[in-house]
Amino acid sequence: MKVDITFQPEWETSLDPIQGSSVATWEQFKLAYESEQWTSSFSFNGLLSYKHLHHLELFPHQEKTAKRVMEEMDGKAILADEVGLGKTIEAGLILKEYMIRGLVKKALILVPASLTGQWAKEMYDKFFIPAVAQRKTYVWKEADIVVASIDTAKRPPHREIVLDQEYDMIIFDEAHKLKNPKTKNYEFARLLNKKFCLMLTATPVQNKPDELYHLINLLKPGLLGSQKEFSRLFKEEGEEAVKHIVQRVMVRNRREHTGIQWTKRKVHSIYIPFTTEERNFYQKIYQLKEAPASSLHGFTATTLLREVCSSKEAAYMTLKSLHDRSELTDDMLTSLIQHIQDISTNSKAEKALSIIQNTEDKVVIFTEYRATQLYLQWFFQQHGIISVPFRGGFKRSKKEWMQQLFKDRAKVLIATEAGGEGINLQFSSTIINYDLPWNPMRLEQRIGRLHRLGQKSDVQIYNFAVKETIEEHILSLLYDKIELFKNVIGSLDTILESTDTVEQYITETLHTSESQKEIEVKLNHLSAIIDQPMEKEGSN
Amino acid sequence: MENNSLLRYLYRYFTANHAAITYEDNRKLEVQLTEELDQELINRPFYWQYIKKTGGIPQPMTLHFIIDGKRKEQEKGELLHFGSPRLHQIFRSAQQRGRWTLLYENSRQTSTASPLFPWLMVNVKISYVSHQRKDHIISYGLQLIHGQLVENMMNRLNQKTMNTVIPNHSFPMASLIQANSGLRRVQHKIEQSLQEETHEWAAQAVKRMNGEIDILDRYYHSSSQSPEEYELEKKAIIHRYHPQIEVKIINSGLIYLTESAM
Repeated sequence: MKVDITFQPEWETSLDPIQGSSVATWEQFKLAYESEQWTSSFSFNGLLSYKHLHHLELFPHQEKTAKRVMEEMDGKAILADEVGLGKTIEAGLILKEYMIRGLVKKALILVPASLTGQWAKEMYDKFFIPAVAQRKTYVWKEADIVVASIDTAKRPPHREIVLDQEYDMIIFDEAHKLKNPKTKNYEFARLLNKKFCLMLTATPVQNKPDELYHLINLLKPGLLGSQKEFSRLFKEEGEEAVKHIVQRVMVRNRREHTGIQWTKRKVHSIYIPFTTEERNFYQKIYQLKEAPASSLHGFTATTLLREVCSSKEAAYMTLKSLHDRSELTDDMLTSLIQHIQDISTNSKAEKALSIIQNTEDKVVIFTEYRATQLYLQWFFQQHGIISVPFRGGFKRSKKEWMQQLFKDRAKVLIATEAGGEGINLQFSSTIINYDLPWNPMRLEQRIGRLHRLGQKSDVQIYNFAVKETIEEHILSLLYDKIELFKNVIGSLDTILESTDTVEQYITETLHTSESQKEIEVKLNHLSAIIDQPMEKEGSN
Repeated sequence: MENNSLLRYLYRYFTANHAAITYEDNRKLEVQLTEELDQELINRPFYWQYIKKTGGIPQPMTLHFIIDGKRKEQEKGELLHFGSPRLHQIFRSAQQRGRWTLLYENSRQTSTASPLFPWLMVNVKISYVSHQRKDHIISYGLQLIHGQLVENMMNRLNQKTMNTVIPNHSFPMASLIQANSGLRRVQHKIEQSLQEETHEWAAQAVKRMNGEIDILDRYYHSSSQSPEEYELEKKAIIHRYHPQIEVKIINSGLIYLTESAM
């Protein structure tokens, strides 16, 4: 076969004596030759980047994925690993490999706006890829590797510039958002020059044929035929036939198949009795809720009960704001404050303290309330324990700073939110759920901050609930029943989408149920539903 | 092992470029840069402008490298490994500084005047590029009097002592072949040998390219895809797979050797 041969321009000029300005010594000449040897790729296959990334601990499935995407899929793929298996790492690895081989010089990484900085940082820290988060217009042209949000990129004046660039690779993060061909984002994605292209998604799109069709049609138009042909194929030949084609462009690693030995989760349900004074306060609020003439809205009362279970400080903040809004009379507030003043110990805090004092490990405490967070920080300080606070609302730099402080100096980190992305705490393996969220997925997200790739110990999980309160219902009827937290759950992605519904269901159950028995039945029902899709997922 | 060869490479690079090695052991290297290297490797143009304007005494930086990837407590230094941007900057610098040479072999006999024969040395990198890439490095030597062309030239010369000045008792012979036309001969030789290869890799790439274009074509005919989008996609596919070979010169030089032929 005849192949085009291009001789680089230096063939015309290299022996021009004027151009050869300085004469190298024999040693300099050898050094130049050797450096070229160091930086060449002597085989089509294999990962050269491996040599570049000593410091990065790659997992076998990540390496395999990168090889498969490059050698079998020719650099166009959907990366659809389950949450927590490191899709970003896979994408970075592939990008790096193409860059080392000189096949990608200019790349565009499209991610949600809030993640541009994080992506750029990760690309540099982990892969030494000089990615620039797009903040100024000139970046499109000047920088080779740009991280931007699709919402910015698709709008003028950026749009014209972006469409004018010759990208060698485009990476779409959260690609499942590109499922509707009628949206502006989809339209824009379609116009981009996609020589090499990676689409990252955590949502198992394969269960939704239409969305899958549009996603693949963006990556490789026509691979699944026209939409009509695809629907017919799906209907007549079934899921298997489709799956077969899809596998040509999609990699989906599952936790159970990665061969990674996940450390265990040891779940401890801790039922804590109130002191008499705490109990009295709780009862007082409970009566308010039940009293027919009460001005307290039912949900507000439920919130208050949850807060009392957390700390008197948390409850006080709500009472005060109710009073400020005239939803609570002066008399009521005074009498409730009297109860608060009677309380001298926080039973949960004492329990947390004893766990902290009896472990060598660093401890992460999650609470739902800011006031509790502040109180705990003070309380631990009284006992000579250094803690750092963490909130979802912290700026990225502050989050990192707090994470570092925790790692280097503090014993305890007190967080109010799992914060979705943004904090990795695998160097700690003890977690206290000081109060429980009413949403199992948020609990899973919390645990996921510690129990992730890189965690070397079994993770101790302490779930706190105060005896004979609404917390006890949640813990004993919901969390203890479902196996959710014994294992890393496989179908997290699927359930995540319906989390709001779960929370609403629990709130309504607790609020409207007439009897203990009714609560029990309803929560049992819920735990059965949550368990169900997991079995289904596990069986295919 | 790799750390070792990296360390040796760095040592040689800095020594060859006149920087002083102020400390070294099997995992660390401390280098006092020269002014020239400082300007090339350390990005501080304002400092140099300032020194120039004020006539101050330049103080080039000292660099500390740690090669084994483990920084001990209190230890200062840059972790250097194969992926670090600094190393690649050094590689680029080395490539720049070693592009062209003019060398004379130190002949062992010192009593009688002996001739040195002119050779053109051209080190070449051939890259096979499609959706994948593979490099091949060849080192050519062309005798500029009778035109013998050999490969593997770098290895053949590796052990020799060569200098940029003509040694005593040696006299360089004049070339019959001009260096530039010698370069054409090498280029011709490369073209010739590339044409003799079967290029299975290119055939594979074209096959895959045609497969992709087929899918696209079928879709274009059975759907409402616009001609613009079709063209865009087709261009991207061709751009991705189109096989080609790039040939670049790594470095080259005129070398006077005691051997007349190899």
